[in-house]
Amino acid sequence: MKTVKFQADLASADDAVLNTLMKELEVRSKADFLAKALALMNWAVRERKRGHKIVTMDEQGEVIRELVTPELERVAPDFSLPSVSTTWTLEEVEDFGRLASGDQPKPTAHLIRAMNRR
Amino acid sequence: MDIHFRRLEASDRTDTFDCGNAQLNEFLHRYALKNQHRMFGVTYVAVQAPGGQPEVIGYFTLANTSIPRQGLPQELLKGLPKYQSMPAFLLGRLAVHKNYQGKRLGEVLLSHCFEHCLAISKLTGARYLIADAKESAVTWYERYNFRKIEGSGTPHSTKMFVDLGVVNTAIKQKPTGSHMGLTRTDSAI
Repeated sequence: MKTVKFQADLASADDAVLNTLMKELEVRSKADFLAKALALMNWAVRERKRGHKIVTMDEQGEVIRELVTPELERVAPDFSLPSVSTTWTLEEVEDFGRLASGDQPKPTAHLIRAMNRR
Repeated sequence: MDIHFRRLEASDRTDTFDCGNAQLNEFLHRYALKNQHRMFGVTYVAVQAPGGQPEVIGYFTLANTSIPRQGLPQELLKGLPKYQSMPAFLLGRLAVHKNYQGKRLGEVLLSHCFEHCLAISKLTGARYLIADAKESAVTWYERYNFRKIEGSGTPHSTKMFVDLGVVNTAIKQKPTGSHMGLTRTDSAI
């Protein structure tokens, strides 16, 4: 197998974590560890691309924690929009409620054209 | 015009974008990508790549938001958990480069926005798209079934909304004739 040389500067704290993990996982070389970490990251990216969430579960199947990182959210499909808050006055909410609960308007000619252009 | 529509990417050229509105320009030049990385909203762009690097010629931003339940009639709250606000989409901004204004690129961007909302609404149940429109753009939005919400706390913008059910109905109807010339009313669209 063709290999590529890889060199990286690590903070000493990260190096300590790396060594601890290598011992715990019984991984013998840093190259081997990197290959396994890469495979794990690759799997996470592929799952998030499919829209799947990455979570930890307890033995009963209850979700304990969801893994959310800006990097993974960048590859997530479009339906994972972030949520933002908007300020509403009571008058606005009431007027919205009045309009939204009334009869649904007919689509305008512009809207019909826009939604049928492709 | 060979135009592509997709999410804003780091390699997209945004500094050449000029829609005639300083605030909308500055947002794209400085904040759109940062906001996307910080998950404050997603910016979708129309890009052209005449010289190799994709150049943004139009954009809109989209996010999930919610409408407070206090003040809403019971019939709208049916099916919602007791303490949950009503889910909705927020169209934060929509702008078209000066050179492409009047060519219905704003309409195409809006249709993409509607399509995204319809796809997502199947999963989230959100039914309404909210826009904070500048006064000069209100008429333009009204052409696409957005309705003005009275009682705004800010004098320079108007909250508007469109029912995605109406958009769904529009998809099933055939366009009629070519009498619908687009009159430009907003310099940024």
